[in-house]
Amino acid sequence: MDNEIKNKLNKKYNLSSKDYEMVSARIDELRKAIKDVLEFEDKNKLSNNPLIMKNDRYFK
Amino acid sequence: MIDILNKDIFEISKLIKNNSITPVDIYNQFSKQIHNYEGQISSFVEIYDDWEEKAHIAEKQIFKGEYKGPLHGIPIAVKDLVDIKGRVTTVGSKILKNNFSNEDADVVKALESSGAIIVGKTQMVEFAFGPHGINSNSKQTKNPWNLNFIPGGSSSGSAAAVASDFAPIAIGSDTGGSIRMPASFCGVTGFKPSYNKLSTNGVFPLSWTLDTIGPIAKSTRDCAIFIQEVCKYQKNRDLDPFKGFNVDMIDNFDAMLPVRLKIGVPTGNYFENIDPEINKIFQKSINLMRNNGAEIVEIDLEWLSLCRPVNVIITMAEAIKIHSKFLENNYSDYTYEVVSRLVAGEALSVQDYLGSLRVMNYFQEKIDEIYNDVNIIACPTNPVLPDEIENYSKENMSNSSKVIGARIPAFTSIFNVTRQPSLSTRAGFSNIGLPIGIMFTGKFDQDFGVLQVGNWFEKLNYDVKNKKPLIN
Repeated sequence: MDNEIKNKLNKKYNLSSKDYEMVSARIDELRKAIKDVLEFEDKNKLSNNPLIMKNDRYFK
Repeated sequence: MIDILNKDIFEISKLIKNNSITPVDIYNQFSKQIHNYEGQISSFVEIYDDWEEKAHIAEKQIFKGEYKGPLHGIPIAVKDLVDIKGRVTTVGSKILKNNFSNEDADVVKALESSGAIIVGKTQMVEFAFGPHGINSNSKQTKNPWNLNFIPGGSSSGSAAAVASDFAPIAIGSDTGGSIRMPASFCGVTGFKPSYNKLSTNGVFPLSWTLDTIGPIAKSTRDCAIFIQEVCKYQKNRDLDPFKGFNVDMIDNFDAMLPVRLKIGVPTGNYFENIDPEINKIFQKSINLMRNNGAEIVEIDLEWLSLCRPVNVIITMAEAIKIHSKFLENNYSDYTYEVVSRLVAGEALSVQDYLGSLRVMNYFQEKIDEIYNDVNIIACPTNPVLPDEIENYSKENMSNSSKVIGARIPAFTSIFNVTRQPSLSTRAGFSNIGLPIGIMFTGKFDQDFGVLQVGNWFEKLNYDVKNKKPLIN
């Protein structure tokens, strides 16, 4: 799947070989981050509304 | 003439109040320092030509008895992502080089009401997206302690300007550590307040869920003065009072010391994987506090390490949302060091983003439990020392696992996810004389306690705090 995304981005932005290398490395890094976070969410059975945070606050 | 370059605002403001020095004297000394050394450091994008005129106006006001408070007549440098009416906000980019602002950011309005003088805009990593302090769009900002080394980022110019005595204080922004990381690398003090304590209206976003603005200064007590004054004047402050900031900082803060302080020191592989030189300084700092009455409690915070990937996912998802239109039309105008971060964000799904927000909320709940046992958490600001600038060329950037898997924000980024107040101040020096920071993090909304502890530590560590960088 990642190769498909990388190829799609390569085509969309016409990446130079160096840029492709960097984007590719970052996607690989991101994939590991996603795996860790979604596994944690699943394992802890988190079901809260993700758009409401404990420490939210806004300015008008 | 009193030399004010080695004084903090806490001291300078007392001299202004009793008419020992004037805002024009201050202008003369800081502008001379900039004239002499800015060419070496490259910390500013622009220095405003109305600074001297504003100093004269402030001087007249003070002579007439219209003294506004501790920031009256004090020069302040502003990171180039904060809007100032009639000025350009480039956000460190080529794309926004003609981005004139129609209105002041809330923080600028508050600072002008406090009598502070905005002196110019500081360099930064393009769109605030990077911890190193590299920006290939502009003259590279240098670390004032060793010009071959990175200053850290993304608030690179703000930290370098304060460390170089170009201004006593500067505004930074912090999404994963962008105030605290450069403050640590440049040997100054940086404070990220609790999330949305200070309004970010008029500040160009990187991630609306994580962004925070705050001061970079010579001392913790100057950070406290900044927070006090901005909170006093920012709009909607009645809806969002800053707990503990109803005292006059100048008269009271320095006399306040933390009582029966319990400091939590994180254990676990994630927190112990640090440079040995940093570890040595950190242990020395912990012993210093222990020997002065603090109780040290080891706490296993390995579980908190997941905040780092949560921070990465949320930042990349929100950044690509903000930049998608720009990227389509101006891809080639982005810098090599930032564009890959943005483009990679397109690989994220809605599930990834919402899952990360859900986990973020979990950690905000969970971290509170730690503060049943301790008052504050202390850890090194950065797990690694600054690297040499030449290692961040495009060629090295794509080859270096150090850069792609950068560990600089490993600790700082956690506390953006938990939205806690977090301060970095100078703890010591590496073998080659580069500053090393210590970070104190308090419970959400207990910003005042963090500032008290930082101030106490700086007093204990006075010899280290007093050392000046190379350029002086």
